[in-house]
Amino acid sequence: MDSAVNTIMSGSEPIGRQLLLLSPLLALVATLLAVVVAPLFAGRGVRPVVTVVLVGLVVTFLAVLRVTGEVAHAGAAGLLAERLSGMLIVDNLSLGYMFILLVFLVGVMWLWWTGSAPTEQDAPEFFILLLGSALGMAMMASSTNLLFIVVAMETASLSSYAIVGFDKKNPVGAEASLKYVVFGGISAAIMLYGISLLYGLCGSLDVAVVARYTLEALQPGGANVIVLTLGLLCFLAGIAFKMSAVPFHFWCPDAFEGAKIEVTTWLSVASKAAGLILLARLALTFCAAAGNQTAIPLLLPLAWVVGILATITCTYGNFCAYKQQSVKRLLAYSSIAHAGYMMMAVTVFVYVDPQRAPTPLPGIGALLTYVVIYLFMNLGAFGVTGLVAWETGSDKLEAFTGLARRAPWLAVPMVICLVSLVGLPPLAGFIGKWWILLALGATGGTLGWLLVLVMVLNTLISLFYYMRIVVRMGLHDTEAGPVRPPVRGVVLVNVCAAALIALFVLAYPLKDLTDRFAQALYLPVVSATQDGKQAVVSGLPLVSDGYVENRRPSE
Amino acid sequence: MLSLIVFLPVLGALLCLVVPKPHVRTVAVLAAGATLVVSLFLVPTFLHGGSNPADVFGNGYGKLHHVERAAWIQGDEFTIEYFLGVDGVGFPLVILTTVISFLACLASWNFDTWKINRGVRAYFSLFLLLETGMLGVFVSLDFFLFYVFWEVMLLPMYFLIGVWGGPRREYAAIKFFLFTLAGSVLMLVALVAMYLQSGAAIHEAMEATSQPGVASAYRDATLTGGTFDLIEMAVNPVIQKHFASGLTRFLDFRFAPVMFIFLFIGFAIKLPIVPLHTWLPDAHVEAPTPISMILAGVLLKMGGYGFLRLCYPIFPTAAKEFALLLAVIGVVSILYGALCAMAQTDFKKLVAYSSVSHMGYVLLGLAVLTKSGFGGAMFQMLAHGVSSPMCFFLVGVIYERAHHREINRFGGLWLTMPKYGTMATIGFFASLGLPALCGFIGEFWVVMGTFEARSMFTWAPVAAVLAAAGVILTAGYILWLIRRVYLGPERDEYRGYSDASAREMGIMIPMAILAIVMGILPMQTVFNYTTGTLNNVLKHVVAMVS
Repeated sequence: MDSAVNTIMSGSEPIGRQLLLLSPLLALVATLLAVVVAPLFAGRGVRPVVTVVLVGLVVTFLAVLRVTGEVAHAGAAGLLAERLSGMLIVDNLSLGYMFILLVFLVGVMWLWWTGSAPTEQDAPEFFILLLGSALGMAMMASSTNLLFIVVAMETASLSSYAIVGFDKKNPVGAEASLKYVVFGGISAAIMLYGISLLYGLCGSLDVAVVARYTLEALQPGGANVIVLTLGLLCFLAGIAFKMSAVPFHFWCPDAFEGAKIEVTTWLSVASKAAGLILLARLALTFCAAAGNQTAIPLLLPLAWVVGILATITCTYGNFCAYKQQSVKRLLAYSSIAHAGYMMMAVTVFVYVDPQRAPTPLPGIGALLTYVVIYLFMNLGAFGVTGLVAWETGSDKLEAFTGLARRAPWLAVPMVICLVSLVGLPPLAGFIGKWWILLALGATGGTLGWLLVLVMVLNTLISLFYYMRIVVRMGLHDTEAGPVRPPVRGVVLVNVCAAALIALFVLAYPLKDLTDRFAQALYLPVVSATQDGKQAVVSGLPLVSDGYVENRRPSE
Repeated sequence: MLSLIVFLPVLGALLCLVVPKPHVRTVAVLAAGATLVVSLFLVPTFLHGGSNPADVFGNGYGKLHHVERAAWIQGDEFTIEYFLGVDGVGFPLVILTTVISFLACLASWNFDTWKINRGVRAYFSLFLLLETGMLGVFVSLDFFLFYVFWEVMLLPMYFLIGVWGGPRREYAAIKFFLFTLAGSVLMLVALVAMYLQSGAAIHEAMEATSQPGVASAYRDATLTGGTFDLIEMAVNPVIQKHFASGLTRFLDFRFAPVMFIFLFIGFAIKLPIVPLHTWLPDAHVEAPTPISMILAGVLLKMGGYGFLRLCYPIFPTAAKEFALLLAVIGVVSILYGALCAMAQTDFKKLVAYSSVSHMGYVLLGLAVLTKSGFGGAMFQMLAHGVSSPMCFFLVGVIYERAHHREINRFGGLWLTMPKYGTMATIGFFASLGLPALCGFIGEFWVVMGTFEARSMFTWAPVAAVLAAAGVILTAGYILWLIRRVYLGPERDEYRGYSDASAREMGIMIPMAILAIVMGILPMQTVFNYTTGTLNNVLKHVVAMVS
């Protein structure tokens, strides 16, 4: 195995191939620049900007498709890690996230087209910020270097701060933006502090080296454990901010409430997913560093940290959502809870045994599946909220009263999305939860089963507040006349609802697809750190061919 | 065939959404009627079984009929199947469901005259969707599919109570939803755990024998991964041994008892048992009459069915361990339900509490692990499935006219409405358990079965005596009810009330006939179909226990 890896690593890759592997990110950058330039020639209207963005997204999509083929063909995506000094990694996980990101961008654009486009004065700027945050998130999913992670997160965050306060006439939005900036700044500072500690200890910014160092330190008699733990926790805080994990969530409800609904939708899925993919990537790297079964128990404390964070996050989110009067804010808390569910999937990685390569599959496959389903649920639910808010001028719960009669074509998809968010069959939300539950259970450990219980109990708690909206729509009524939203908006939310039913029936094709993206992932192999100075990192892809048996629960 | 039965109502529901409003109820009744007719085609298969039980209830713990299976969610070692089939436990409940649904649909015929009569399309669509969910539960033999159908039924029921119910409908609806979901999330944990442990069992056996797969006692296939197949879990000795083993753990607890409790709570909420019954009086009282009929007639049976399909066959050792506890809960439910019923002044609430009392017999009958007990429990489910919808309909008929349900304000209704009075007598006597009516057989069999269990459980005679006392309490509150409502001098208030209409009689007469026939011919109507499967289940349980 080593020799095979070495041959790959020592062969010098032509610059063309590097560009090819980087082409999705480059295409996104090109689109961003095109949007900057386009108004000079075509004016600041909505139409030219949207055209440019759509063309750019199609090109990006084709690039992702091409690279996916390339990665699948090569079976080894670790090449870029060495080429770019371990900065960037292109593998199935980052590509899978790119696909989700692009689909979601189109969905968010559709929502924007329905609600904001008719009155939008600053379309180019809006898309520059939107694409800027998308670029940052895509980079987050591709990074394996602490410094690059910071750069990617700041790219995503800075654009997000601005886009939250994009509506200049809305003081609430401005306040939300400021809160977001303050919290983001503090989190970034904490994270940078943690990174500086880690760099000081390990002498490298490469995540793989940090992971290796951590494992050595965690062994009995290891040194610098306290400083290391502090560094890791501070670093984790930065990611937790992105995922809006409790207690780094305070920006989330305010920013979500103050921002335009399409921005809220965007942040609720894309930003959290980027954080989660990053967390998953780190977990994977740590597991790779553990190298074999004997070292894996050392990772258990880390898994417990993530698991406890996940438990607090989803429980807190669910309890706080209950008393909200604004549907937007309610859904913001709901998204905090869902971030908690998805974090649970990450704890599964602890049980990865690189000797039996494909075991990380359940966790990553479940996580990706959940993100895909979550995308449709949130797009639908926020979409209906937006349509109602645009028509009635309010996103309060009262605005939904009697919606079943006033606008059945909004109420029905809303019920479907909400019930899916609760996680009941026959809707896709259940399938998303199901794979995570199964992956957690399959670990067979105490942590896994405790998280299973936490998750199902949280499902029960979440029922209350989601049903509050359903009750408003279906069981109450007012004198108010019918709501007549634009047809394109109605189409969007109904497509989302239909997708939730379809993804339940076609549960397996979806899982099969995401499992494919959970294969052949980049797992760095680190040779021992001598004196904490220099370490060699090479790419070892996880290939699942020849894999015969699932991990079984331990007795 | 079974797919047709399960999904015909959905087709009807879709049709209800598109046909012009005045025709919606016609479409719904036709859809429910068609489902009933198709389901009756199942009967000949089982009629044959009456003469030759060995043929019909051959291998496993009950040969399955009309099996349909196809892979639905399939991975390398992972198959969630679309697996339908009926045996002696599922079949009578399918027929019960289609019959009661059809009658309840007829009972919804006067929807336009209801106090809340908006959304006729939504009402009938949800009604039919509910029927699909219920039928799906009784025919699916894959645990995952079972769970899906179990949940499918939740949301329609929530809306049917919540939108078209009485004054406290919102509270009752969310309470129903919450209680049921609380049970089903535990079931979900069991679903995951049982799948994984069955996989572990098979792997262990494969490693021990170095065979490529584990042959199953009930089908030819060799298993390599875990299974969701409910029958497989019950009859595959490898899985059974692993489940029962004390070394198999769930979070440091023994596996079988924990899973049994998880499943038990899920089903017991539905049944319902005291103290998890509080959703029932609220839901029954607030629900519109047809929905009360469905709730009492079919939904409660899903709990009992769950015991018979999952708890007992798959975790027999735990069932034995908990026998005393279950019997105590059963007896408490019988007595507490009856005492509560006696104290009610609301007509509908009285019927609701009588359901709690009657379903206690089901739990007691199962707990004692005897043939008569099992048979009695099954019969009691079916008998209650006929008599309680009838009682709820009887309440509905008078409520529509009088617009109140205060028992003490009624009187002499038999004189005012002779046809209605006659039907009421049959219905309530069936519920009371008068010999020659359906309620008697079930209760008698359960009490008898409990006595028979004295060789296995020393406490059995005490339970039997207490259960028999329940019969007296039942007689007490029902006779008192009949005296207050139907007997006595005619009251001016109710003079001039029209007697039961042809439609109302059309709904009551089939249930009355069923109540009488089941009481007189218990073998031909129920036991011949169910005994074979039930005995096999019991044989399997007893074999595992000893």
